[in-house]
Amino acid sequence: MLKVSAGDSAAFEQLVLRYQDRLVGFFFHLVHERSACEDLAQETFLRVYKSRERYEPTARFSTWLFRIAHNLASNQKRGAARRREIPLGSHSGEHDFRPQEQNLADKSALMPTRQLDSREIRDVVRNAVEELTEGQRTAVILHKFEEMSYEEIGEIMGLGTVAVKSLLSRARGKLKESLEKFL
Amino acid sequence: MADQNYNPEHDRIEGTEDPQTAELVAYLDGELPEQDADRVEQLLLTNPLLRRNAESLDRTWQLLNSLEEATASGEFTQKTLASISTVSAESDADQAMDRRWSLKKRLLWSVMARGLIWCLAGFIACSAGLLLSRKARRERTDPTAAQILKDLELYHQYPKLWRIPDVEFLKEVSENAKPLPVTEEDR
Repeated sequence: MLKVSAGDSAAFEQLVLRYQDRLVGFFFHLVHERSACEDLAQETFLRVYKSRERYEPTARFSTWLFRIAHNLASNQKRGAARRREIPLGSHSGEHDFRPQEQNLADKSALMPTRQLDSREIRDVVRNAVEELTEGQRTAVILHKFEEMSYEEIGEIMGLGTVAVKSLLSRARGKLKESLEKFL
Repeated sequence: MADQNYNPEHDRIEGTEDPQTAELVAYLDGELPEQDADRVEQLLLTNPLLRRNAESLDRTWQLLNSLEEATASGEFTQKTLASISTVSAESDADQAMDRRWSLKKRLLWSVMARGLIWCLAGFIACSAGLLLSRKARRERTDPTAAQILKDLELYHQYPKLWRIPDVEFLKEVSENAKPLPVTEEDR
């Protein structure tokens, strides 16, 4: 990143190549739509490029990158809530299941021994993750898929370690509650 | 995590945080200090309910592996770099425009500064002229200077007048029409 700050365009290409899959994956867990998540990842790289001269190597680059991505996702979420253009999860109500998935969950609950196929499990898990609050979901994604520590998650989300611990504890409690009948 | 009366039902209350669950989750995430982790491990060995809860939390966490993952498409890198170069070109154009505008501003300031200096110099010159003319007029109207001018004729006659010895002589001349003493110069 220091080379990028100095105006090395080849270094920026290396940076894109190194982090693009992680960024796209992060946004995909939030957006579930490939074109939208690639747009968001591209916008993140654009912001990194625009702020390259302000970058100070005080923290890990990935922390700085995901802080930008998190801010972008939060802004997008607020914008989408106003415009209803990009669906960033469904959190308009406590029981905001989509009918098909609600039906699946009900069927599965009635038949606990029924073997769910991988697609059904994926839909149920995705639905459970979408039931989390935006902060809980971000913390879960960063911890589970980016393998980040509480401290790093706190730096990205602007929270203290204790708050992250609380966020993840509640998130995992809710996930357990939603998914334990499928275990 | 301090006692063995852990009740997993606590977790079912929406929006409340069970400190036992929080500590258990931190333990599963490897985020507890060694001493606390040892304590939790001891509790897990002795408390079946707690152990079941930990297993349940862990299995739930493993279920997240079933979520669909995505990676960047083949064109992503090129599209991103292309958009960056577009932005970079726009930024360069903006910078060039800024530089031109800055140059224009400097030129304008330079012209204005020069004009100001000339105005200031003109003002100083006018003020000095006015002061000098005032001083000259004041000197012309000065009573001492006026008296000197009045006595100028007398000063011109000084070579003749110096021969008068005293005031008594002048009185005598006035009363008896006595002629002035003749000098070699008069002859």
